[in-house]
Amino acid sequence: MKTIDESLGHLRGETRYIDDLPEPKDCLHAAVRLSESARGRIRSIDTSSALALGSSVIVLKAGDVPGENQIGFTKADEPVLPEKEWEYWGQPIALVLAETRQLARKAAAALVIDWEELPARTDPRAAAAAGDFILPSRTIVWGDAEKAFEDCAFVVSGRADSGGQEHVYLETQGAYAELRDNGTLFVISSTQSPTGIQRAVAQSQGLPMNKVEVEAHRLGGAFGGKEDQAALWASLAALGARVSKRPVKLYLDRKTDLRATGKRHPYSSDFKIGADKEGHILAFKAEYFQNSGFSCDLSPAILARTLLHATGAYRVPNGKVVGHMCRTNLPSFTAFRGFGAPQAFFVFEAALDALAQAMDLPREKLQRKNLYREGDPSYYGMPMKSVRAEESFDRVMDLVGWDKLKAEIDDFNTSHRLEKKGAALLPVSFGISFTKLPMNQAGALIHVYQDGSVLVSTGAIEMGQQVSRKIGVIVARILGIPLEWIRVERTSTLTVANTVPTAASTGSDLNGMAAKAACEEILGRLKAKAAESLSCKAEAITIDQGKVVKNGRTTALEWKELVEEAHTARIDLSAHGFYATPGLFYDMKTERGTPFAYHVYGTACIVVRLDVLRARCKLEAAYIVHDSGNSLDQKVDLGQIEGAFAQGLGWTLLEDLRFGADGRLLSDSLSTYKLPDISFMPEKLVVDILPGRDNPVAPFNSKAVGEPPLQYGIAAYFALLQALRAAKPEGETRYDIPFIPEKIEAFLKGRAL
Amino acid sequence: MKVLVNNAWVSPKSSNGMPALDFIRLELGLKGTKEGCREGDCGACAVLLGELVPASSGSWAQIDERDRRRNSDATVVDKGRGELVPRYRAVPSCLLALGDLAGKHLITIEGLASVPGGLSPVMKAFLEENASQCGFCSPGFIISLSAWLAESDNLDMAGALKAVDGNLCRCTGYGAIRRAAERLVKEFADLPHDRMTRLQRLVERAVLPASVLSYLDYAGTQFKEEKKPAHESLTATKAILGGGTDFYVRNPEPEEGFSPLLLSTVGAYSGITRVDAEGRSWLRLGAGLRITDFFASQAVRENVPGIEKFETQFASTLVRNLATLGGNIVNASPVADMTAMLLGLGAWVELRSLSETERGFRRQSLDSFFIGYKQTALKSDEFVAAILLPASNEGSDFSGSGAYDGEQGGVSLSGHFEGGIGFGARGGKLFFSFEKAAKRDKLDIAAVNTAMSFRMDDAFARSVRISAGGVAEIPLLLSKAAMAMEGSQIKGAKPKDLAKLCQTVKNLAEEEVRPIDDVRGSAAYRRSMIGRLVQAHFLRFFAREGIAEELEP
Repeated sequence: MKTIDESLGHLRGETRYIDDLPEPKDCLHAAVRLSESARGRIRSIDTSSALALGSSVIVLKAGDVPGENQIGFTKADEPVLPEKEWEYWGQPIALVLAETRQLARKAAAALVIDWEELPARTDPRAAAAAGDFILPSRTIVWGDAEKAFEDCAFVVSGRADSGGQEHVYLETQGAYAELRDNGTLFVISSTQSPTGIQRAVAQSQGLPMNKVEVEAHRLGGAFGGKEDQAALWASLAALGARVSKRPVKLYLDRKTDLRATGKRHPYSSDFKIGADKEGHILAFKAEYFQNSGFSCDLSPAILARTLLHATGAYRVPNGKVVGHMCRTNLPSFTAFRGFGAPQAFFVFEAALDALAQAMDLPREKLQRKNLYREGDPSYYGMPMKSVRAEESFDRVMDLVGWDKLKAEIDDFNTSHRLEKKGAALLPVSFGISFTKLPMNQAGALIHVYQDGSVLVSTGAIEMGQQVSRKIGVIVARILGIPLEWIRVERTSTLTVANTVPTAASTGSDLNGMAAKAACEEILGRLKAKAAESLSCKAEAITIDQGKVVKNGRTTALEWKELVEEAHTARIDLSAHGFYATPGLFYDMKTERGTPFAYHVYGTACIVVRLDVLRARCKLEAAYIVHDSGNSLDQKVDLGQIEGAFAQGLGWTLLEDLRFGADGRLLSDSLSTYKLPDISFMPEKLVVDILPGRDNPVAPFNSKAVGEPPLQYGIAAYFALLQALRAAKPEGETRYDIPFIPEKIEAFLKGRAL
Repeated sequence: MKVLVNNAWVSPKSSNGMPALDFIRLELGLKGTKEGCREGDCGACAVLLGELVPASSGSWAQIDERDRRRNSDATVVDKGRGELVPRYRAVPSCLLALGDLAGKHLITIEGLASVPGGLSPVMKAFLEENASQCGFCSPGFIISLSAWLAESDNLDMAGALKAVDGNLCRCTGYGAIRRAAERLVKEFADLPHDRMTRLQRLVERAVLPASVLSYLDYAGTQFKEEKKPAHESLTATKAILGGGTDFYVRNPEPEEGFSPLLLSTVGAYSGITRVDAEGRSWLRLGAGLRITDFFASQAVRENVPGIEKFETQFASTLVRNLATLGGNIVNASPVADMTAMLLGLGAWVELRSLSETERGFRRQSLDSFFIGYKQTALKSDEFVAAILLPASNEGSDFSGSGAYDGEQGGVSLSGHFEGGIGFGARGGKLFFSFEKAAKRDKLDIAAVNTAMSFRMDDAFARSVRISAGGVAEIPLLLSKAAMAMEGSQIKGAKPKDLAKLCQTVKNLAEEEVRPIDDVRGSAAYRRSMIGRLVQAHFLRFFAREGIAEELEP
């Protein structure tokens, strides 16, 4: 009963993703027809030439949706298929089924759409000026910023822009749906949120949730892109299956995925910051114009995280931050690792940089002076505990030998005309928990089978973050048996109900705690049984490495025998576990509360080399000091740190999501949208893990790791800025990422973009 | 047609123009090969392609020798000379025509997993370093690194990184993949250079399946008997497909039954994949020559010293293994990297007619070949058969008349060289440089690219050529900029004078281009970058002269 490490299957090419699953003989393939303008009114859809292509061709339109034509969770503003108007370029407006994928795609292209153009908007500030918001804006105020600015020796203001980011999960979106007995729908979806899919399918099909069964096996990457955004594809596949009464598979080709699905929100922000003459930041103001796209999706939760990370890792006594969800005719922007926090970090670091410039102070001095300290109140009322901002900051400075590094860089810059170097530090303090309070819950179902092997089901979706391994480790530790005896299963709405999405870095925290609760229940029953067999009290029993231990001494009773005995004695060997993060509350009226279970800290240092002649840069080295608690699996955590960091670097310097003024996605292929490859990464990367501390709200004092390290990538921009200023001291700073080579060139040339 | 798929021979049902990826996944049902982007940009669909090929052209002297001995039957050169070498390369199956698999050995991830123990050392390295997270990209990485062990002369980290320059991973940030590669570098440092021995060793060490050895035995016996399709089989109505690396990007799922003529099988011109010499004046590069083979060619390297430095600026290892010289040119993309290089080297093209006899061909300079956006001087019944590179022979008595003394045919040489920049001046050391501006260093399409070459005759720059891509509707030769340098004193020139010359050339280059705005860059950026890259050429040429201190970027 030795289980095989999941990655072994990946390496041997045996792992099956949606498009790899065996298809029943009568399976139909689905394709979508996308809209071809940012906003348009549909007059009619002529299906005749599509239908003429083959007898298997079926075309479905908005009118064919049997239930509510609506899949928006937070706000009902997202149709499965639009009835009259489409609201972004690339929106699916018809579903086509056929016997082969190729025929379905061909038939979709053959549909003749009669439509008229409607005025559209793509700029968030223009939407804000017109008052076109998804939901009302939010404001957090603390202290008295206006008064504090008056007391400041230095006050600067400016603007910071950050671009969107395409997830580029290597497995594109897809779903498989099948109509089963009694009108039940069975759906396999590449999603982070099986319950969300279940709800969307039930709602759009007019079925109760108990007639929709959803499974998520494993995902070829997600990064937030398969949270709410997976619902549309599953709903379309389910619609196809319900109407055709045949299994339907919908698997997007890359171009369709890029055009039709949501991405990280672009932000355009204004900031104002002030400090006394020693460099103590006294006040900060920001107004964030979040480009939310055409629908609500997760925009409010993402904005909440922006507003709750507005001052990064720094203590600021007075402030006011305002966030607007600006509706535009673009794909609905959505969750992406970091979830609004990277945008906030960038704005604050930009403000801090502008302040450092104005004060003629090294950035790092200003940074170090204002870091959160133990017990500092956060501006939203949560006292900061187990703060490790200064510790990680100082440790990374030691690690790189900061003073020496700076001297070396100065020497280099003096002796090189055509190459310049720059270095920058970036501290992170990242709150863990869903900002939407009800989502901080999880369930688990554990079966111990008669032979002693264990099956674990939770709401945690395996999408490459190796949460299965972490949950396996938790279960093994609690039950006291080897990891090899445990199998962590895929997530199904049959085994664990009402799950929350695997997101917000909480996957192993929440689901691990739920699994722990279930394990403890079974363990209690087994201990009682063992106590009976060994004639002692249950408290005297522990289980270690698959053997029963009595009062610290290993007995002859093995786990397998004990399980067998318990089964014979008619003891329940299954248990459901549940967990809800304790202590969380938040008052939306006062904008105060404890929205997070804890914070994750760390600091990065990046060294960049600028090629002045060729107007491009190379990441020379990166050093990361990260707080990952008492790691459940160091290799897994390292993979998360390095992986998130790479995405942060990509967002900062490379990944150029570009829409035309007409709303058309210009970067609509992997030949125009570039993401980090192996040679883009720093030539040298050192990751140093801070020694663990207590963190009772996570399993075995571990810490969530998925999102916080993404922020480290932002340091690359500020390092590049140092190098650019060395090359051209009078250059005009633009806080505008991704800072692609074209912007480097514009800076060096003093050219407006 | 038959293809050895992993361990069994298969006769495909699909047409020869079907992408190999669909053949593998849909017809064979081998789902370990993943579809990630269908444009060769992610590497998830990489497979190993094994074949037995004639030994590479060898050095200039060897080619010259062979050229002299070559009889009229040009199609069977190498026959019976025993110069066959095995080659197992990684290619993106989404851009590979099924027909190109004929008689070859296709190894998918399932094939690599069929080694004894079911876990190859490459997989084991990934497992130990936790280099596979979501797993979707893993088969592609395993394929690329297995090919690296089979093919590369550089079994160090640089070689390993080059091998995966066409593979994307969105999960790991590449740290663990790098550590897995480091393990392999240590583990396989002792691999022999000789390809046959090396493959035997890799089979013994369970990197590759044993079918590799049986395939090579088989292919060795088959090769000599292979009958190339006759010239008559060519018809003007058929599309000719080079490597497919551009065609399948634009046509990711061609119509069922699509059956193009594959350049690799245009038998009457078996020189289509070869480097040959024509006398001592030209190097004739078959249009079907893969980019990898172009850069590996000893003859090319001897003629253009240092050209191999620029190899990795062209796409990725995966794409270079598939893309052809002819395809890169005939596509007439304004930013094609190879086109920019060849333009900068003063190349010519040989166009052959499909409808006439073999000898019906004409030649013209590459710069006159492009007549509009994605338009060439090709007539409807013609195809690009070869690219001619002026050979570099110091002291050779090559006249500048432009007369081509080869076979009869519609040789057209008139008027393509402006202002006396003939290809006569072949004496002197050749200087060559290539520069490219793109968002990412590797596997990115250029916003702007440029190549520059000149020969130093005595102390003077002769035959100056500067190409520029991405700055007009066609790839350009910047004749004014080049003219400004023609005849300038180089040797013994002061850094200041060189910098001044550079400034003049740069200014003219910026004036000469006519870029537009698009997703890869604005017109202003492109214009500015051409100037900067011209300076970068000068910096490369004259770094030792101390020009760095004088350049004003």
